[in-house]
Amino acid sequence: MSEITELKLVIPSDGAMYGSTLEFMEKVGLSVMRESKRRYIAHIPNLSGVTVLLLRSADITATVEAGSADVGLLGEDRYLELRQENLPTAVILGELKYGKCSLTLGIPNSWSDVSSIADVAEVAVEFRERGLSMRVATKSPRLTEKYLLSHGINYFSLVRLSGTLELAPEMGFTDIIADITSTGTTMKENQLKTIQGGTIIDSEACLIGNTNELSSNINKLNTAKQFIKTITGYFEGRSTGINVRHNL
Amino acid sequence: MDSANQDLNLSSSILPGMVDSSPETHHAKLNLTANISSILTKYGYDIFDCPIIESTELYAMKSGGELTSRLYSFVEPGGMSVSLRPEFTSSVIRFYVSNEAIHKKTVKKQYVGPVFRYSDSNQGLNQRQFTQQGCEIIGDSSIDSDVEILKLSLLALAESGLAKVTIKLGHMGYIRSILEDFDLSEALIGFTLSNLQVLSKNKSGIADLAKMASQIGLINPGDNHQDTANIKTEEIPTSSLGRRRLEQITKRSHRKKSHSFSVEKYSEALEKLSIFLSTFSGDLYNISNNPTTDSIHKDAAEYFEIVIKESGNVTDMEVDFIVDCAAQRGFTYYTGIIFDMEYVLDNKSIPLGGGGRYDGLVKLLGGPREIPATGFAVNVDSLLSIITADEQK
Repeated sequence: MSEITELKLVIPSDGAMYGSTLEFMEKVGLSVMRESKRRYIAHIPNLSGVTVLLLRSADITATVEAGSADVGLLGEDRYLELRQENLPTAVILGELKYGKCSLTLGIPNSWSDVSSIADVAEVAVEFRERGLSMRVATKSPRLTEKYLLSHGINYFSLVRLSGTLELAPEMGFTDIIADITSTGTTMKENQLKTIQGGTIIDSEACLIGNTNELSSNINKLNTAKQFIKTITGYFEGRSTGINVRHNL
Repeated sequence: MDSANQDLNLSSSILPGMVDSSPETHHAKLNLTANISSILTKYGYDIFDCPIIESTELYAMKSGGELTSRLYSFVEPGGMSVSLRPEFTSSVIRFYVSNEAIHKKTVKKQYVGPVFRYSDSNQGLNQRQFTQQGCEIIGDSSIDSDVEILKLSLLALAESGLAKVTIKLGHMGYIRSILEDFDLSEALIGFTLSNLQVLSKNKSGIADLAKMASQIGLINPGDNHQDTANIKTEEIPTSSLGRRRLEQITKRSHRKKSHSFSVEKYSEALEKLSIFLSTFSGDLYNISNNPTTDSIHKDAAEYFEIVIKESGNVTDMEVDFIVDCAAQRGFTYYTGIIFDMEYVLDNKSIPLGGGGRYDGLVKLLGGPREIPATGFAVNVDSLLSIITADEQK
């Protein structure tokens, strides 16, 4: 079987990250061309040797980990949440200046005694003293759990939800939520507030790569280097610089 | 590697942290667990066998924190969140609360079986499944039951053929007393207990810990924090209180106002705790010969002297007792003695198990009242691996 030499780049096909990723690619001079909106494979006319795959954001990390794609653009929060620690992937370029959002705790407005993360720690104890466990709805259980534990909150149960989280406290299904927000408007409209120290992670888009795949195929590696050079060149030209996390 | 090959490798490889036992190891394990079980039976411990999965909430309620983050959890087909057991105590207490608490008798249970704890590579723990064997006494608050648990731990280790062992002893009860004297909130006590290592690590430990507590708002609350303390009941929006009650919110608001804790006051509490931790660190001889007028220090010195004296000679093993109150295991539910058993090989400590007293747990898991309890568990696989390595030398 002949060796695959095309670099496979996977980008989001859904949500706000779809449009902003296409805009980003256009800005750096690497416009993505799709034959039709229903076609999930595309190309970059300005960079030969690259196949672009469009996938749900939630599947990008696993696809790069499995080696089905070599590099991927996605929100760093998604990568940190879903990555498997024993697999050879890394963030190559961080903070790509788009897709900015925060994973933030949302607390019922009615909990007027809660204004900081320390208050949440006390409320968790209050629940425990009543024989209950404070329930936290989230789509990002790993990041949320690490954050709560590192902030002295020891007693809680995470409820993994995939739909609208903001309704969960009002329905009595969970007590608080940890959700992605960019402006906080949806939380406010659903009677939830943010609190001092309640931001779990500030995230923006990043480029991840499968380091094993790239280092074992010289053609892919060279194309990846060219791709990265184009992006870093764009930022250097604008004097904003770029955060290179992993040198290939 | 293409994805087809990777799939093949994944399905034919053992998972990280899991071990296939050889027939010899399997038989050695059966023999050792049967022998330990016989000892426990002689001391009156009934066999307790329980499901390997329980509701995730049971473990979250019991251990919280560090252990919860290592659970193997999944949603069963019916939609309930369940976890593979990371230990047995939760199940023992669950059974006790449902079936035995009503009889108000002292209950003794022993158990053995596999437990599962995830660990990532940087935690330095290799086994994600291992066999745990241990026992619990529920309903006895006496020092005699602490001594019995320590004795049985040593007997279990000796049964494996170990020649020497290190026991690290601490006592969460005395540490809690010091913090409670300063009227710290339960959240601040929990935070302090989880970070005792920071306190004892270096000279700036007190300042470091006070800074950490301040950064997350546990002490010296800011203006925003104070404002909420002045809210009157009628001003609180009553919509969607969730599972909290209005009176809890108002009560907490008022308590925040009267209990705002300054960095200075917290540092004072940490200073007293730090003196206790440095006093109760090392071998018993130095501790016993340290003159003190502090009643907590006196009680603690007497307590450690009794448990060490009465349990130390139960086996022929060389037992090195080290009192180290700062070395706790991240579980804030312990209320009294807490101990870790270790085997030191080439200056490296291999954990063998541990135990302690947890008087508040029965009530927290739904029991009718606070019922004292204590217990221990050993890692049978660790014991066997040490013995096997010794035999191969």
